[in-house]
Amino acid sequence: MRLFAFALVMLVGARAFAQEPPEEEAEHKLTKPPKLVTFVEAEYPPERKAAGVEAAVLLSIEIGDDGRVGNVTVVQSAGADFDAAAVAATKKFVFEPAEIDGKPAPVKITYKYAFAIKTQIVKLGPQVNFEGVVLERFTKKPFAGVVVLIKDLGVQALTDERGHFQFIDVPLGSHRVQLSHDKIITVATDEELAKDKKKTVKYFVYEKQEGIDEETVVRATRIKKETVQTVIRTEEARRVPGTQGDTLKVVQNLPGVARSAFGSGAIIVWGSAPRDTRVNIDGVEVPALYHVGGLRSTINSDLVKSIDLVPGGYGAEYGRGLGGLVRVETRPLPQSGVHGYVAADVLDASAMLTAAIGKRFRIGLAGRYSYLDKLLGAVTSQDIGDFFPIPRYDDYQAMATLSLGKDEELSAVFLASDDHLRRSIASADPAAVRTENTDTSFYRLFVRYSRILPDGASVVITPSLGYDTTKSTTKFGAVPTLAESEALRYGLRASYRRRPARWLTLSLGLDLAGQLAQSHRSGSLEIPPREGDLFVFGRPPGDDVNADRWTTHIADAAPYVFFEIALGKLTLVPGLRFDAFVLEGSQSTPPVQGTTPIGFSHFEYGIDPRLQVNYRPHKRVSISAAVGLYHQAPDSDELSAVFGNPSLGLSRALHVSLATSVKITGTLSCEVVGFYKQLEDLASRNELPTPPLAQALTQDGFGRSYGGQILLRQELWKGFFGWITYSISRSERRDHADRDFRLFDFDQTHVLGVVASYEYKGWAAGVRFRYTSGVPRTPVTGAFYDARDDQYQPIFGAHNSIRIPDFVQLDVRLEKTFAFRRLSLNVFVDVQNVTNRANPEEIVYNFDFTKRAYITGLPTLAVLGLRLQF
Amino acid sequence: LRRAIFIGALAACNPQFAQPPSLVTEPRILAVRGEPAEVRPGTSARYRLLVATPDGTDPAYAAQWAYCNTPKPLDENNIVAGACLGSGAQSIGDGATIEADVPLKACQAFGPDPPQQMPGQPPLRPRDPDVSGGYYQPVRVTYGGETAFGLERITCNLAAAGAEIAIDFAKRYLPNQNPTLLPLTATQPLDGIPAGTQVTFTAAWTPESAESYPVYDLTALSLVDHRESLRVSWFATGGAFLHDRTGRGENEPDSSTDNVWTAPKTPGPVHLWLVLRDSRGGVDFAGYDLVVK
Repeated sequence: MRLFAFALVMLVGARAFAQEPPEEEAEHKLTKPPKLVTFVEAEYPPERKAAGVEAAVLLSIEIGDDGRVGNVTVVQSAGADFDAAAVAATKKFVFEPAEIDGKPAPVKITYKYAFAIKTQIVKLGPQVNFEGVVLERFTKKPFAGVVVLIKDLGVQALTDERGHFQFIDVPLGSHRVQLSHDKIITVATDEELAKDKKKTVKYFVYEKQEGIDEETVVRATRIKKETVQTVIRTEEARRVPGTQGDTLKVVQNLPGVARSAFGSGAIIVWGSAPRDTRVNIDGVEVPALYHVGGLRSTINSDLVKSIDLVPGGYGAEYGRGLGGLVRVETRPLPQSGVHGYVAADVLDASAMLTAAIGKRFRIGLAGRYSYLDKLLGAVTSQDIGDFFPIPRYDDYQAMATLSLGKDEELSAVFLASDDHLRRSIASADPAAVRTENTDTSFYRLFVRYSRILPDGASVVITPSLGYDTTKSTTKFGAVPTLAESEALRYGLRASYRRRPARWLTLSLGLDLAGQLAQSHRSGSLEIPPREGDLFVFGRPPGDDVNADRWTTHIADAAPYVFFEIALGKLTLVPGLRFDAFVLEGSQSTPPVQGTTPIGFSHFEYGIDPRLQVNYRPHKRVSISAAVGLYHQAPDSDELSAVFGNPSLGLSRALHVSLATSVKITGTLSCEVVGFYKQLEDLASRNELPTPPLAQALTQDGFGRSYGGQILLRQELWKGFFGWITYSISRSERRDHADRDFRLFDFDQTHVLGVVASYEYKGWAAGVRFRYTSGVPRTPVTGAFYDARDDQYQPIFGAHNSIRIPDFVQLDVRLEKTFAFRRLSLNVFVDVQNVTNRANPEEIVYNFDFTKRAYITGLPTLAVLGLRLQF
Repeated sequence: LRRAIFIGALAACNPQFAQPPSLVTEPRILAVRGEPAEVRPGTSARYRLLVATPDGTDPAYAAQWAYCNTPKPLDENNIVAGACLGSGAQSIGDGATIEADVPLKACQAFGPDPPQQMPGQPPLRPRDPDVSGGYYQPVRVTYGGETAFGLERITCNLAAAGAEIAIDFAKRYLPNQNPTLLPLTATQPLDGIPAGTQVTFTAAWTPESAESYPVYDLTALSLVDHRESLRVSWFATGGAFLHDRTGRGENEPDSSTDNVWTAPKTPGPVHLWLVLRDSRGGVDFAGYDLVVK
């Protein structure tokens, strides 16, 4: 410790101190003040220093014209010892003399001599400047053995039994810190180390579930990268009533997602048509997330690492859709051992097996097969398909991963999904005999190469091939309808990501996709129905028929770039995507026997700027906004010269959203989101009585949807988790410029969902409550008699001007997990509609449309299931 | 328990309406018959109306007839354009029966011969045929506050077919003829049916009623032979039919169809009507007076 002096020089008078100045001398001016050139440190009184006492002595110093100190007197005392020390030291000061009128002259000043104890920095060698503890996210217990790696330095530390780790002399600046352990999800974060400050952190990590049951996360409303996400763990998702253990089905309960019609499984987000929402698995588009009927997802939950539901405003990396985005990421296979599970319930049975072969190669196989149709056939005396079409489905997956080296991996994924629907209604009336057969399937094979380069940049390349088939045959009496298509799909997604500066991350890539489709359609123009069609449930389609057989090639090459710019509390993600489409087809006009068809080819493009902004005014508060343009090409079936329009171009959408999230506690959060979507150039049926040839569809449609949503969520905490979501929205369409706006077919003003689950000693019980507004329908205000077919035809009122009554349902789930040595057995019963409420699902009319009633959903229905895991 | 749940689920889904279509409780139009059943545009056709009331057949002298002249847009899914209910139709007279010339341009408005394209404009889309390859002139009839449409089949050219097929079609195709009902037969005498008992009625038609005809298959782009299916619609002022309609499909050679009728529990007269329809728009009908004792 060393004494230092703090001096305040105060010039109190520019006068000679030896005598009173004569009157004429009063006009002299001080032209230069004295300047201290030799400072002498006073001796700190030892007792005072030992006691930590600090003080200041105010002195009056006389300075001669030679700069030497003359008389020194105490003006304000700090004690005799301090005064004496100060005076003694001051008398040894040497000044540059003051000048009056440009000549050296004696002066007197007031000087404050301060005695202060200074902390002395003593270099003792290497110092710990970064330390912390690692705790389990929910139990808050210390996690030992976690590898804490500072990636950019290549140094690591292990946590001890207290979960503690420390690093010595970590260079100042930003560092990437990664936490890994066999039992936790590997995570990484950035830490900033400042000069002379020790960084102390507390990390909370997710513990993996037993065996292969690793983490699955489901995120909602991720409008930008930094926005607080709703992450639902596998453990939570499986316990949500109504999902029957299928983690991906929990998406249907997230905010922004409207309730799909009974038995449809469609994903309706933020007022967008289901066909406008894209589903990607590792960046490869698949036709559907769920099997027909929505009973199961098309990919095994245990192969999924995460699923993001982005209702709108997503970044430049993705496109080709006007609606939302569902992004599924497959999970890495276990790095050691053999794992798997078998499961069965009243819907289907499934199994999965994974194995690590050596240190570098891993493989996994999974499959599922449904038997609900057979089961119902066995327990009921009637052919259930006569009344309620029971879907039959199966899906298979295979994955293989080869580690090529440090930070370099090659993986291959094969996905297959099949759906079959059979329904037939016999009748004594030939015109009332109905059959309905639908077969859909898709296959995807893709290879994913990923590498982290030495400079920290990452490269991911994913070429893919796919094959889709759809065949739907229906027959209402003598009116058959056939729609079948086969499509070969190809794609290449390549991305490069680099962080050239601490505040800047650059991502650029190419998203290439194409499909070669062969289509055949015959029968009524009204089947399949389009959004906005006037209809009455169960009514036969019109018997005007036509046919077409055509091929199309739709290819899109989309380079994109986006930046992540971190400016303190503000993060900007500007991006740009350029979609260049080529639309080709075999027929520009309807087929005529004996003539050679003339094909078509046209080029379309879309320039899509995107921007996400995030601002964090507080560590618990995040405000974010997103805006972007989106383009979508017509489907191949819309390019038919008979049923569609080969000259259709791109449809366009504008997404705008604003979100605020608040982390109330470590596990309790609240998020509020507002959104607006505008859709332009939508395809709709031609309204002209005599339309031009090959223009059954036009691109006059316009749409808009807007609303807000709130999510209050308690993450898993002491065995309990749950959330409350509420959305209010309105979605409208205008099919042609001269028409009025109408409600979107799937519009639901209010959507309220409550999910809660509690686990105690291996038992878990959960409830799910749902309330939604009914979807719009067009009322029948009258009818006339069709004397040719002996049936009444409806006269419609205002388009979509009434609603099906509200939907209210309570579901419960009870499960028990039995743990054995290396096995665990989970038994659950999932009871839907426990109050046996008759929820209206559709409007039906009597034969002459004078009476109206509702088809109701299923009554109380229990699903029992087992799952054995190893 | 599970069985009960599933069966209950099925029962809960579908509402049932009390009154079936076959029960006549108020005046109703049951059929419109055009004679001949198929005509060329510009030629004459006679239309006849069948109106049922709880008291028997209504002669419907005050029926008002009109030809619809507005094609149906593709975004409407009724059998006729909504405009045909209003100003999109032209009156052709009043009465229980009416005779009128089918408009000369019927095949342009409702058939495969669209109006000529305007200079610089794309050609217009031909109308789509029905599953039997036919096109129809809508005939509107209004009576007693009820509106009905009959569809008079019109003979037009083939759309999207080459000359060779068109010639072949013209040679083989015969305009549709109305089917002919034979007298109703029953397991009980019609004038003495015990109250509350079940009677099996048999409606039969002449063998030539189920005609064969070629259809230009728009997928195969060739002619395919079909045979008419025949349907019988049953109506009565009392009792209950097992089926509202019965019939024979295209591949069923039988020329009759049965239905079971349960007589009302209270004695009294019951009026019964049968309407026979072929799958190309041909119609025949008959009425019977039953006595329930």
